[in-house]
Order: sequence, then C-alpha cells, then structure tokens
Amino acid sequence: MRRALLWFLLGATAAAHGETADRNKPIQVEAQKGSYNDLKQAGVFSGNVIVTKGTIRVTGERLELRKDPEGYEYAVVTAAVGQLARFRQRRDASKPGAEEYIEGLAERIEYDGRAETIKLVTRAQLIRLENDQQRDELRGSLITYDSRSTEYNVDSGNSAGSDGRVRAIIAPRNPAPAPGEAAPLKRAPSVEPPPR
Amino acid sequence: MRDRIAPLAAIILLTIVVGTSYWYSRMMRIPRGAPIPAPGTPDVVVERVVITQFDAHGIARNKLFAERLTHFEENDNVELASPRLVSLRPDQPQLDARSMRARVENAGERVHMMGSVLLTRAAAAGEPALRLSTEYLLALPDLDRFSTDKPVEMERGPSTISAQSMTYDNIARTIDFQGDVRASFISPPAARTKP
Repeated sequence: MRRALLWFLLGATAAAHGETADRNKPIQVEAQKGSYNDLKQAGVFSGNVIVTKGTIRVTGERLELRKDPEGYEYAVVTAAVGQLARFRQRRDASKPGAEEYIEGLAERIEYDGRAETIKLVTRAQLIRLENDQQRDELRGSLITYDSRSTEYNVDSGNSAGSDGRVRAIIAPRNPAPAPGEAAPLKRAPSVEPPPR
Repeated sequence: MRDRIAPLAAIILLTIVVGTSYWYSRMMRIPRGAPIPAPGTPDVVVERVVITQFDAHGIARNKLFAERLTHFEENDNVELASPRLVSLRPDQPQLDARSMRARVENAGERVHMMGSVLLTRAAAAGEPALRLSTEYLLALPDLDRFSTDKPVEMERGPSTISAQSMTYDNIARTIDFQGDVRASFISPPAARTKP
C-alpha cells in the first residue's frame, strides 16, 4: 500500500487545540428519524443529521452513535451520495482577540471519544479559520486529528478518486511569543463551563 | 282396567313434560322486549376496579387499576377512566403506564391510551429509569410493544429524545423515532485517566 504520510502541527502555537470543555458536553442530535437500542446504548439517526457536542458541530445524512461499557462515546457521520459531511469546532484561542475555528469536510467523519481523535475519511479537507479568514488548508484522503496531542496526520491514500498526493497550504504566521513568556498571559477567563 | 291406567297416566305425564319444555324453549327463543343496548350504550359499568392478569403458571403478570370500567356488549370493548397498568414480571424492570382514558379491544390485545399518557420503566442494575410522555399510545401488551403517531418525549436518565411519532419494543429494547427527532445524550464522564 502506497502511503504518503505527512505529520505536522497545524498552528504554530501548541496551545491552539479544540475547546477543552467540549468532551464533557452532552451530544445533541437532530434528524428526520432515528432508532435507539436501550440495551446496546447504540443508535442510528438519518435525514439531515446535525450533531453538536459543545462547540463541535457535525452535519451529514446519517449518524451512528454508540457508547462502550466504560462510557466512551463513538460517532460516525456519513454524507449522502455525492455530498460531504461537514465538521466545525471552535478552538481555544491561541492569541487574544482571535476566534479560531477548524472546519472539516469528508465523505465520512468519525469521532472516537476514547482516543479523542476525529477522522475525516475520503475526499478529506480541513481548514483553519482565524476570525473567519481562511489560514491553513489540508487535503488528502484521510485526515486524523488528535485533540490530545493537537497533531494532524494527513494520508493521501490510494483510493479511487485520489491522485495519491497530499496538499497543504500553511499561512504565514505572526511571530508567536516564546512559551515561557506567554504562559502567564494565557489564563482562561473561567475554568467552569458556563451554566446550562 | 287398572293395568291400563298406569301406562295412560305415564303417557299423559310425559306429554305434559314434553309440552311444557317445548313451550319453555319457545318462550326462551322469542324476544320478550328485553332492552337490547343501543349502540354505544354499556351493559356493565364497574367503579374503582382492580384487575390482575396471571400467566399460565398462575403468576401475576399485570395489574390494572381504573376509576371506572365500562363494557360494551356490541363489540366486547372495555373503556377505562383514569387507567393505570403496572407490570409485575420479576425478571424485568417494572413498567407503569397511565392515561386519562383507555379503550381495550379484543380481550386486551390492543389498548389505546388517550390523554396525558405517561409510561415509565423503573431503573434497573446499571440502567437509569425511562419516562415517556405523549397524548396517545397504542399498547400491545402480549407483544410488549408500544407505539404512537403523536408527538412524544422520552427521558432516559438525564438524556432526552423527542419526535413526531415512535415505536417502542420492550423485549428487544429498541425505540424507532420518526419526524423531527431531537436527542440529547448526557452521560456521566467516562473514567478517564488524567492527562
């Protein structure tokens, strides 16, 4: 299997990762129909599915949701034929005044609550937005985002429709402050999630 | 002469018995103006009733409470005011169903529950309680299935699902939702190792 693998940090500041509060937020689902098995704690939803978990928002045609015995959640969102599922998450601001979002597109989007990874599978595209301005862009057949290490792994794959290339556009950055100096300034305004 | 009277008497007696019984049987067949209930008029009304249903082994399966039970002769249907059905199966978490009115058809095969329907299932080992509310619910007690074509809200512990219609299979424990499904899954945080 021919694999072109590219590891890099999207966002020069290591502090730029997904909203840390997201993983403890409830999963909200909107769909046209759904089926839920009470014993297996697994469900399938379909028809213009919108899944939100904190600042994460995923849209697609079909959602498979399950929970393992330890309580970790797993979700797979697939797009309708010819469409792409869409993923969007706000990231903890890496610099004051900036609002950062990650947007992903793929035929299938997988969330693994145990590994805390998000996989964009087939025709995958990931964009980092800073104050609604597109900064970085990745394209490949498989993009894996590890929210613990904040690393992105892009795989060109060799599936149909893929030319076996990985494409990345990294926008030039403003000089990042040295981590030692920046640390005291990065105190979050609040530790507690806002009351629901 | 005497030995002719005895058989004659017997014949007369028999004739009388046969004739009387024939008259009685005719009388029973002829409608005698007894009031046939007009359609929609009950033949039996029972106030504050409790019915216990047993299985083949004589073990109580369900208990039904109602403020008033009304039976209709024309179709053998039963209508209930403020009914409440409680399952008594020891192997399954207790189910409790109540509503403002209910109609029981075909000897309990179909139960239509109407008005402020509330269905609850008690919490069991490792499972939170289940609560389902809607304005109409069709219960098929023998199949342990419940369905509605009206908007429905379900709570499972802190998680909720709402939809425009629903089918619930209490044996397979699957719930199918149709139309404008909105779900919120809240689970206690998994036992994660601290980073």
